[in-house]
Amino acid sequence: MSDEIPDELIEEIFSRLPVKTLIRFRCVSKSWRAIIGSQDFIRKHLNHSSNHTLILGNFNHSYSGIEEPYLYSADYNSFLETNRADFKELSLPIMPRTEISSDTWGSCNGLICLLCFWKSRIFLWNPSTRKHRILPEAKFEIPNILKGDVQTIYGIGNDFVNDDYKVVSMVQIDTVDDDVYSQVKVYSLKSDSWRSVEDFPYYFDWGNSGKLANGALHWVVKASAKSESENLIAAFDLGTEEYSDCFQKVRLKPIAYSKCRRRVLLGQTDRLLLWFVHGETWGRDSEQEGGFR
Amino acid sequence: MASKGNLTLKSCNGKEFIVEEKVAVMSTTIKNMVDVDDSFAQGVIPIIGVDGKILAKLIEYCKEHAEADEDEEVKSEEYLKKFDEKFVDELNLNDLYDLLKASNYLEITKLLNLLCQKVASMIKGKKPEEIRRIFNIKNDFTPEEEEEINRQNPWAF
Repeated sequence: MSDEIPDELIEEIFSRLPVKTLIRFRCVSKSWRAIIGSQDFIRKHLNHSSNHTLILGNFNHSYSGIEEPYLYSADYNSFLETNRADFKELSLPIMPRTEISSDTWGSCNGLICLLCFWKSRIFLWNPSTRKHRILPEAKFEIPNILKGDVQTIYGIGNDFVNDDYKVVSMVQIDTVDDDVYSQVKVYSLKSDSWRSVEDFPYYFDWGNSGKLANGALHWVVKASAKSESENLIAAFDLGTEEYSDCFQKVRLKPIAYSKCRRRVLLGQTDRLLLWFVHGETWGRDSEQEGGFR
Repeated sequence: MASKGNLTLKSCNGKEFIVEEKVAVMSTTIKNMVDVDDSFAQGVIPIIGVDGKILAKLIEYCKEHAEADEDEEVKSEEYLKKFDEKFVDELNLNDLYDLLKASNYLEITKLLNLLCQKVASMIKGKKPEEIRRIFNIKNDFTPEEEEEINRQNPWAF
């Protein structure tokens, strides 16, 4: 029967199937395997998917005092409807758990970016297909004369221009003379390699993973390292690889750390959670407005 | 000949249906034909490759939806949802495929979405061998190749 159904219809039907079923259907026939594995189809499936998943990270402290991260997933849409989330534990691709830090991570189109303590490597993980990739090391050349607090900042997102996924990694060092030194590298999934880009022209007073919106990663930063310097939102466009602070006019109130320590929503683990981006405006309560996707 | 505001559709096995224009133009293909060439609106529109039985089903669906578009109060969203459910549930596998192809050819987007969703829910979670039987697909993998694919993702089976 299927030889009568054109491929475009098969794709239409497949784009409505869960990933697990599709992986299983790869062994139905060679033509089905080709359809399921094609880039065009993968894009179609992604566009069709209206499911958003809530990823929750949590630590268990073992007796030895070592933190063991656990990740859980729940359906975001039903969470919005019912205010209840039915979490299932995700089986992590790298064992032992203590090798994984859930401190800095982000996610994009179901790809989760995690940090592995082993050589401080970043790895990307797709829980739906259960595939993961450990990224090559981002080699930062930090001059020896620099001494001070080193902060590493990550972000993951998709580059619509080049149809690619990118991971941004930055180091920022406070030098003794109140100056700041930064270096930024961008990893491309297509080329599987890191490349240096322009230094970060802002200052992080605390490290946080970039929040993805409209093809750009966003961070709450300060204009400079000076303590009186105002908070603003900096953006890094993943397509053009340029920085901007288009939200500079928005005065940001200092963010209360203690109130929003919950680790919820799409792999975003930190305080920016309560902020949302909707078009060009920023709001404070993501749950009410549903601005986060 | 159909009276004003009506169109005549002719199936591949010669059955003619007179339908209101608003019903017929639920199909983008028919709409384009009528828009481009006025003679279609006057004469008979041949629906190639679609037999009378399937064409009747298509018209049944389009009629309900065209009326709902016109008057939401009489045919509410809830009513349509129930109609859609019943519509696809009553189809046997052969009719489902034929309707799928016909709605694709005639570009009846709403119906196409509905039918794709139906097929997807029918095959979701099924085993490869069941799928081959349902779709009458020949397994063109060698046992070794098949085993290799299974080995890559044992959790999916």
